[in-house]
Amino acid sequence: MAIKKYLSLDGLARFKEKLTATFIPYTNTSSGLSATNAQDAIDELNSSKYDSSSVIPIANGGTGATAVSGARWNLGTNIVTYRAVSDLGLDITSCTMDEIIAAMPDSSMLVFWVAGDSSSSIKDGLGTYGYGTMTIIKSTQYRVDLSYISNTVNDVRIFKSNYYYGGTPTWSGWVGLVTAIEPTEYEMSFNSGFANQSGFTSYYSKSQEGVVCVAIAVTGTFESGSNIFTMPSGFRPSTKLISAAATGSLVAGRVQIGAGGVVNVYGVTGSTDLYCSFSFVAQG
Amino acid sequence: MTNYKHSNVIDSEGFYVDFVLVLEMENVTENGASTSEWVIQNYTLKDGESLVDTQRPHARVNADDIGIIKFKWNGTAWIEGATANEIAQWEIENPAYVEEEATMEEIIEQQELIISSLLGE
Repeated sequence: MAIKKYLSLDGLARFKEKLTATFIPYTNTSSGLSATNAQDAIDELNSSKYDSSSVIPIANGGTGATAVSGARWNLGTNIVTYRAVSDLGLDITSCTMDEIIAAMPDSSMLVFWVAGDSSSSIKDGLGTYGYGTMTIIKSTQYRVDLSYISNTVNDVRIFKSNYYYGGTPTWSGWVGLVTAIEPTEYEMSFNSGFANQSGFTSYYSKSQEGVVCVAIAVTGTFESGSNIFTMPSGFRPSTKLISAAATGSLVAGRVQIGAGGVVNVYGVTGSTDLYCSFSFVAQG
Repeated sequence: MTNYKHSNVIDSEGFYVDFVLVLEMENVTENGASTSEWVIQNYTLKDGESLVDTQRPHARVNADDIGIIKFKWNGTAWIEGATANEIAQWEIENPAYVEEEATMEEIIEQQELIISSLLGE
């Protein structure tokens, strides 16, 4: 005869009182917890949780702040950045620097690409270095710092400018910073009838500070006032300049740079060679 | 080394205006490609102006000289652009050069310089 066991209602009630989470086994293989029952697992999770009412440190993936402004500051994102003039609602081909500065909010930075079609106001003072990256940092309307680095191959140039926006906008263009790049020497293009003396190359150059150096070794048949060469625009003295010169046979003469950069030779009529060098600060 | 050339600026009628240096500027574009363009240095062309790369001929220095006093480009060559009246006026203002004879002192001084040079002094 089979024996059947039955729990009494009292027994069930007592069992329920004794049945806690401690008796429920927990498999910790995937979680990595050390607990092996439900009670210990929950306690272990509870001990490692963050209080949602307190600040979560940056080291733990938080912001270290309880407000948006503080969070931006702590994370270094308190400066609003723009990567194109169009982000400010402006057209780079026609807008002015005044308009760009005015459109930027305080504590903002604009980094954008300048190219051939950028407006003349943006490129005022950049000369032929019209391709590059421009950075504008606007702390407040009274403190705006601008920098520009050209992307010219083999001839990188740096430009700086400050922009005071208090009251009337006063954008005065870019100022080039001198870099450690030696000046290029351009071989002279003599006028018809004159050429480099054999074994020499006549040249001129201009440093980034505007100092022009000229070295002449020319052959030809000279008359008084012969125009041997014209200094190009931007490579001329502010006033007429005269320098001593000599022929190979030591006849003394003079070379003069006059209006329009015209280079004339005097005092060596009949000679066929001439040597001279001089330097000056270029006009403008 | 940047490529360069020298060019003459002429106006709409072909008259010489200025002499300029032109550089071939090579730039890197936003997408990393490079682009090059010839850029006039220190001069902006005005309406009607253009560049001529042909070397100008001899510039006349006085009334006895042969050459041009007012350069004009006719599309293929440089020609005299001055009118007959302008040339006549210019010749009055730039008479033939007459070299003064050197004094005996100047001749001796010149010869002494040559002798000193030959002696390596």
